[in-house]
Amino acid sequence: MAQDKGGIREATLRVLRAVPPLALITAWLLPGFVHLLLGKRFHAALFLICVVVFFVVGDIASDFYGVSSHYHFYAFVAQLCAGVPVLVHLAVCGQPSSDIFVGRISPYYDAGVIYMMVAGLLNVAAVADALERLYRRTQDGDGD
Amino acid sequence: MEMAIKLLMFVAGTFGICIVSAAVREDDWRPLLRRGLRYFAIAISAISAIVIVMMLVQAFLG
Repeated sequence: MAQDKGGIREATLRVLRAVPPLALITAWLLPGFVHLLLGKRFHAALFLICVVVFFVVGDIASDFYGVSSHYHFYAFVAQLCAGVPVLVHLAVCGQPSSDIFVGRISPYYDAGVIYMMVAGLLNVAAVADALERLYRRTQDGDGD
Repeated sequence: MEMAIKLLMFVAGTFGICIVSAAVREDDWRPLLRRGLRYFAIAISAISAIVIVMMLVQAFLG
């Protein structure tokens, strides 16, 4: 059973090394997943917790209205980098319309938007680190 | 209360950024935490210095 898991892990790593765009998309969508495949459990947990917790706290602080391509486009671009959390948010909550903000904006709205932006930008750092570790091992020849 | 919560969010956010920045540089968790704390101390010191200078300038300008 453990050998099966190891085999699946190695096969997944081989596919990701052979197809860099797939590695990029995987690392973007699932923060920490590539680190987990590489055996870096602490890094995987750290990146996953930081990105997801930052995004969820930001979402709660902005009353779930903080993701909007219409009201703050550049913040939206940064938030999109967070991967699955922002896609789940868009699928469940969608984007706010103008009547939502009339008379009931959260005092923590700006902080929430910034938190979600930071989550996305931290995921960019995590993606860069994951790809660097993925291809550095191949070059050094100490991976497989 | 609102300012206190925002300040707490700011400190927690800064700490998260510092830890992730350290994670990019270090492989093991112990030196990672040490480097993260060092980054955090530098960030907080720098931000505090900027705030103090701005308050002094504001006080002198009236």
